[in-house]
Amino acid sequence: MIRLIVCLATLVLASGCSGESGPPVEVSDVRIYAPLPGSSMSAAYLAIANNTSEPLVISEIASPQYTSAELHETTLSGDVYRMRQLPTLTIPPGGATELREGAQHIMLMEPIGELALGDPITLFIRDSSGGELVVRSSLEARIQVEGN
Amino acid sequence: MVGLLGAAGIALMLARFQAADPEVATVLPAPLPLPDFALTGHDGNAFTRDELSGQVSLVFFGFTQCPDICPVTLQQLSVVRRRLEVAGADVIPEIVFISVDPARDDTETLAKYVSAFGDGVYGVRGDLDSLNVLTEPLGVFHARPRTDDGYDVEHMSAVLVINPRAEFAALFRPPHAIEAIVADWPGLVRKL
Repeated sequence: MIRLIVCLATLVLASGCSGESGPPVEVSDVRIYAPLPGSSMSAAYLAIANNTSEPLVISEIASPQYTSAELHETTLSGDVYRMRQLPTLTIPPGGATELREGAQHIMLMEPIGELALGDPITLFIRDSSGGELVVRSSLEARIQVEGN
Repeated sequence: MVGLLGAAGIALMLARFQAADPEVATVLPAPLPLPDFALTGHDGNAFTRDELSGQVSLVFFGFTQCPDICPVTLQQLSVVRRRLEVAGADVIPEIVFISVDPARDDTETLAKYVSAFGDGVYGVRGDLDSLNVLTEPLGVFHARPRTDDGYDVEHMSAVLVINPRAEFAALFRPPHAIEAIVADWPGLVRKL
């Protein structure tokens, strides 16, 4: 399901815009989950399409609603789950990346103040050339218990 | 609506696969008796081999501060359990979430955490020595490697199936696809 995103998507790339109509970078399917009870960690998932002719190197994530936000990746090595921080995430020219469950994701750590479902959450996705993509969505419940 | 459609589909699927051998579960050639371990449930009660006797349990090792794969897996197992209930399966599994991060996961934290997943999910914890009494004989990996700002937590990806004799009898490796586990269930239970 593609969600309508992101009100402000103002990525200013130093170079490499396609020059055609349409945004140089598109973000879709944004899901920002509230921490579960007892946990101060949660995750955000989204898809990013790089419509430019240059690689897009995401180097920093921030959110005013969280103490910190980082790119992370869950890996399955043999029978073991590991999670590691990604220093950068590169999306090739004309390519797209999906941050999704069990793979690359945005880790959101320690909410600043009380958050409630539906609250507006902002993510700043910054690239290595100084561009910034502003993603706004609302806080969702992670768990949907069937039949309850 | 998804729940109703899912229930109908699952009922059909259960009937269809009732006699089939499990396809995604790995059944151990010989069940492995659980060691004598002593852990604590999220309600503060003792959790030992006895608590696993007389029921079929799906056991997952993780930690509450895990933002990604742990809630995903527990959600999958919760949905499996719910769909088996709706479909009228003879054996409904209990889901046991055992923390491998005892420094952060006290019983109060675990109780809050598992409550998010609805009925049938039970949180368990113990100090590392107590935990290792259970995990080492079963070959369940967990580790907490140091990092610059604390530690990471690494843990086994598979879900263990414990039979009513408190034996490690089978496992589900990821991806823990809900439909596949539900379809496997009657054939798996027959082999436990």
